[in-house]
Amino acid sequence: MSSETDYARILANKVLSDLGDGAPDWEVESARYEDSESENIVFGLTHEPQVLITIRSVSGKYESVAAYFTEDGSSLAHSTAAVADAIQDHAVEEIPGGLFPPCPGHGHPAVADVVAGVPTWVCMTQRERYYSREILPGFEARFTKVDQYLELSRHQRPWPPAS
Amino acid sequence: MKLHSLIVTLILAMGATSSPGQVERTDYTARPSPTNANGGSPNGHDSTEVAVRATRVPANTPTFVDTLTCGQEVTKDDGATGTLNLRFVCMGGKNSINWGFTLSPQLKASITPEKEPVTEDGMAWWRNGRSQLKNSPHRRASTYQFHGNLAPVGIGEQIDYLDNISFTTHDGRHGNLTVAGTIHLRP
Repeated sequence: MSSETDYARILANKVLSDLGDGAPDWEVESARYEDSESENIVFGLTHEPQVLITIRSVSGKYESVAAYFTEDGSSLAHSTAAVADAIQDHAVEEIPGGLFPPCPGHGHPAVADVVAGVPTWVCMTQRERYYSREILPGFEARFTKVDQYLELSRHQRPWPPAS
Repeated sequence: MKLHSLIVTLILAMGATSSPGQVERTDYTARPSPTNANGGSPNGHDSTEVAVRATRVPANTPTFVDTLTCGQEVTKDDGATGTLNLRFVCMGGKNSINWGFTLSPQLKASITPEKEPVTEDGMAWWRNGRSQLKNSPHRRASTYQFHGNLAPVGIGEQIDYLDNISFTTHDGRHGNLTVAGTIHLRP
């Protein structure tokens, strides 16, 4: 297990729990790097393998879905929010009209965004002025690499919390 | 041999939309690139310069080249393989490119329901040459509109994108469709 796969698994588990009641009964099946054969090099631009997060339905009722993660995109915060957005998109496609996760008091879902450098669920219309919740508790705007979050979470903010 | 023929046909058909003639024929709001008229590309991605290790993308694969301004949307339809929509959304400094791709009726007709689903790798993209987080992969019916979001992006940047869609036809052949191109973002 690498730091990126660890982080991707933690993130996906957290997002799945955030989706809330009525969401597909998904669980993280695996978080692993793409096969090197799937690496694309076109236009002379390299594309390093990214972590492929696969998610399956516990009951088998829902489609299995997937999302990618890398810490080497525009920023770690944006990559983190993008994974949340991707999983949410899958959930809404499985159950159209689902509020996953709900924006409290509003008839629409919250959306994943980056607020002050932190990946955050915010209100779709009124943004963080109305509602905001960290996608990954403890994530700080200064984080650029997953190890920074993992180190912090190991010592201060474990996720998932001990039952 | 059949397999090879189908793959090449699809890729070339899709890529052909980058020719100026195709741009004139369809309802594009994007400007055709001037250097595309003589077979080149304004971004230095001439076919002779394309370095491809992956077998899925031949070195001579033509690509879309567009310039988009804030709020601009383009629809690209080659009449053979599918329709690609691109929209440049500018929202208070949070800019993104929404994209959607739908297989053509002809292609959908060649895929019988028992051969579903169609597999989309997930859009890979580069921001000024730097690799970004890929969009999610999908396994969906051929009628599905594959879609995603390239974000964050900035005005003045060059965005390159590449996706692969694979499927099996009713007569058992494997098809692989490549959607690739370059976008220049302007105010």
